[in-house]
Amino acid sequence: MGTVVSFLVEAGDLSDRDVDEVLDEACGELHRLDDRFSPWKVESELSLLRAGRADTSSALMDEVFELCAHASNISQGFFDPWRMPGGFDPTGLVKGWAAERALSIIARGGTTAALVNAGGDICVLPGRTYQVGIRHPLSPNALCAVVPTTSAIATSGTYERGDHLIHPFGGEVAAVSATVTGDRLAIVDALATALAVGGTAVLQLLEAMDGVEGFFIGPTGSMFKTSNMIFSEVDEPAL
Amino acid sequence: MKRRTASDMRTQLKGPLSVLGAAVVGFFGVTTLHSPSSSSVPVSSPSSRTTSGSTTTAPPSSPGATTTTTLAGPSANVNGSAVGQLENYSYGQLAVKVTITNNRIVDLKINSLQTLESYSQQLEQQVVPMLKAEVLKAQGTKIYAISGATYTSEAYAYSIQSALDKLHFK
Repeated sequence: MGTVVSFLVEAGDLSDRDVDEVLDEACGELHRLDDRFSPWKVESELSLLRAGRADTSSALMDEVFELCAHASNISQGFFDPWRMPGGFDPTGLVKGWAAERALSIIARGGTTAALVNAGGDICVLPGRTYQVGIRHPLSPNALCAVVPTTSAIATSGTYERGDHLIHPFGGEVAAVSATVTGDRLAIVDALATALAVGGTAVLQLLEAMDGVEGFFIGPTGSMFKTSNMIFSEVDEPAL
Repeated sequence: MKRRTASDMRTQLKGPLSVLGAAVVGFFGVTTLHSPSSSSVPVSSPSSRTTSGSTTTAPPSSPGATTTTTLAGPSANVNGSAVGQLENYSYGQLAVKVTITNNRIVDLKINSLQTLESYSQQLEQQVVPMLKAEVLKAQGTKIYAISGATYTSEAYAYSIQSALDKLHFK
């Protein structure tokens, strides 16, 4: 289950070489983080930790612990990497967190406009609005919405490869697709997972959060959204 | 929050944003393809392929299943597009089109996607908007990225690899 990460960078005054360098650096960071946090690599720090073979944790791992605890707390346990079969699995948050780190590297390279898309988890440099299409959960070639994005957006769904989400409380997964927008992609990523699992229960939590909006599509095709969730206006074609 | 129309976006963007890099990283996964400017392309062997619906807790592929192919240096200038072979994923088959300019992947898109009958039939129950890319384009709505669980990345990566092979990009 690899993830495709794509970058959109406005070169501006930067030379091709500068852009190449900063993209290589960003890719290098993603691979280093993958080496550290992959549950599929037996020698990753995460795997050693899960196997009880690590005495200490790195500063990066501690940062992920902290973010996971925060995300678990604000989602009232609907995102809970400690309740995954096989032990602590922060994958639902780390992908977004890693994309943020890649974006920071690109920003340090001097560009003023950039977007990182890590398999549908998207973060952008502030200052512009990017229209982000949300893939239709039941029609791979269509979108179900377009969302103006100024910082971070993530979508979690059960349509990708069957039911890959785990309900921490043992119930049915509520949504076929759940999208959350907000400031920090790491948190937004985790909340999208929580929303997909918890549906209306989590939507109510999002409603109370500052700067976080979201919507989900239930199995019967009904759409639910937070009251301030904004969609770009596009004409829906007559079917 | 002020809504921006598509035309606002166009004037706001002074220069066009261009896709300058696309990397397939095996992020938390079994299949890894480096960006073309990287020095190696680790690819999982076909033995690690799964066609059933996988979960995030799927058993790890054996580390021994990874092979490394060294990319040709910058002297071998690769340009062009190729469509990878159809690969199975949970709900059907997909093929990815890869475009390379000056040894860098500049575009990746799903060229063809076939869904299983039972999957498509669920569409009839939907009331969620169904927005087609062509329609959005006709309206002048520029979509910068797509959010959504991506199609099984293994099938995606295998198709990309076969497209790269067709371009003799190794």
